[in-house]
Amino acid sequence: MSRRRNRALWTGLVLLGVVLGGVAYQLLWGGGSDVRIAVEQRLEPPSPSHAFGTDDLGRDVLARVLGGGAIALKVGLVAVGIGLAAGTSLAMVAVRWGRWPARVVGAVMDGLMAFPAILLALAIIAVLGAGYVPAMIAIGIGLIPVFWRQTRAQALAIEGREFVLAARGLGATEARVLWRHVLPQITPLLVIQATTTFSGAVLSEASLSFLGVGTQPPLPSWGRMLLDATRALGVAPWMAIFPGVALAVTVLGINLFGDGLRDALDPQLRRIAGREPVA
Amino acid sequence: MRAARLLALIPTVVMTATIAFVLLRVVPGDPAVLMLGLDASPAELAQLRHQLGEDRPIWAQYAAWLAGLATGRLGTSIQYHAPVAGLIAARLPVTLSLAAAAMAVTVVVALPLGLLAAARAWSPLDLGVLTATQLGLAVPNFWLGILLLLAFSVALRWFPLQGYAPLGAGVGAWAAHLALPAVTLGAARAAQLMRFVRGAALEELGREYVRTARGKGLGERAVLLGHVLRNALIPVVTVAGLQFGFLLGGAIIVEQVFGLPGIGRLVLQGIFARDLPVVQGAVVVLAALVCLLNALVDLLYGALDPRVSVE
Repeated sequence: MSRRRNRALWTGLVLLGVVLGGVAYQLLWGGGSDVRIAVEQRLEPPSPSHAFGTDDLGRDVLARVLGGGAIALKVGLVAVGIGLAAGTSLAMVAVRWGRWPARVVGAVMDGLMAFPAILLALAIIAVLGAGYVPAMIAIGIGLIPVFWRQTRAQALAIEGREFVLAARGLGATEARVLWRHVLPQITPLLVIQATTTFSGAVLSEASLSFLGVGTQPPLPSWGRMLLDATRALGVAPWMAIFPGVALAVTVLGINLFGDGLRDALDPQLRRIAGREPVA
Repeated sequence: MRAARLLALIPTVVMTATIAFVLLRVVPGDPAVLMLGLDASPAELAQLRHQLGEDRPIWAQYAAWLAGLATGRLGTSIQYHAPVAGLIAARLPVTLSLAAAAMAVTVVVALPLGLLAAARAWSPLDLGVLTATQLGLAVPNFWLGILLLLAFSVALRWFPLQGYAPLGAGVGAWAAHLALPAVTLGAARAAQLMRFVRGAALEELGREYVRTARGKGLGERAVLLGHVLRNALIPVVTVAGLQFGFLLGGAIIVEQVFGLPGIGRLVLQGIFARDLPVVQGAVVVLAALVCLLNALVDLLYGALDPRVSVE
């Protein structure tokens, strides 16, 4: 059993390594080839000089796929960071201090959870405007209740345990109890949750960009590339294939890595129900 | 008890409506200017603001928004100059048929395959199903939609490329326009549900009543369909019910792939035209729908399993 699961971890790591390597290559040595327009070589099929072909503006699809990876990972990381930081701290505060603040926060979180994630993101983007930064914020806000819910449940369960009572009995401040005793207990769970929501956040960025409200041109984005591809389906199918492969490989890699990580960190743990990605 | 479960919906829906209201209020920009244009006279603007209720204090506007929601009035669209409720009502059937068709695809694929995979656990068939579900979860639905379009509409020309035909135009045309979108939207859900059915059925297969059923000479088919399926169905209904909410969310994206004139397109047009009443109304209506569906699923348990009572 464990060998099979470890395989998930390693397969995930290898897939992610490929993605990260490609992204790093483009960032370090790409020299802006992902946004360079060359109309005279538009819609060229894959060839030795353009392994993934060129798009309707003559841009190299391989370079754009790699550049899009950088944006996808950045949006995913920041969004998960927003959800993790805000959700966890709100939950900690709600557990320790006060009844009615906890109730108000709880009601708002339930309200946020009631929206399908994509709808909430669209509503926030309607306010902030289109772009990858608003998309990042919108996805992050959608993740706050996910981390809030999990941290709160875990922190409540730990509240009554002896080591917490002992720490308090020894005169530790509330902040110290939370920071040094409660948080370390739930860190493995949060790491796993962050991994599972990360793949969802990457998918969400692609979905929002596909809808035209995420990452804006000329910046490359897998979702936006697929949107452009739908307008040239009959003539340039390669435009529709490669960004999707990159997206699927990344998501699969993160998912497998997360599965493996879960078993490595805590074999007893059951699958954590995270918020669904929008796609 | 059932009434209580439905009543519990109200605070959640009010909270979603409040979040939507707060979001709209944060937006810089004056709806009246957006509707009339920059060269409108101050008197015209003042009159429109009065019409829209914008000159009232914020709490009165909030109360009016909630009261409007309760009576089915969601305000006026800036780009269409028409009631938002009517715009939503015209597009809701498209989105709901897409979500319902996708749900049908999900269940029809996931139940038999998940059950079969559990009955032959760790066989090549089971491992194939598991691998397929892992892939199904990793492939984003809009990319799958594009691939299906490439294969079946561009290359084989079996299905129309874009658009929607209402039921009134004939069942054949309706189904032809909805088939690829439904498969696209249902695929990832089917993968997820299949994993779930497999897990639930495996758990049931290990129980004593299954041994008893086999011991009294029942065939494997009767054990699976008559006993295992029935008991495994309860957790499965939960997951399937929750998935309907995700299907509604996913429908917004899939509509865009296939050019279906549903709620998703309305919301996107609203965002691009800064038509916030439309965005606000559509978002709240969909969120309320998801809440209602989740409550109905809760009530469905009682019907499926008499041991369950809704607290």
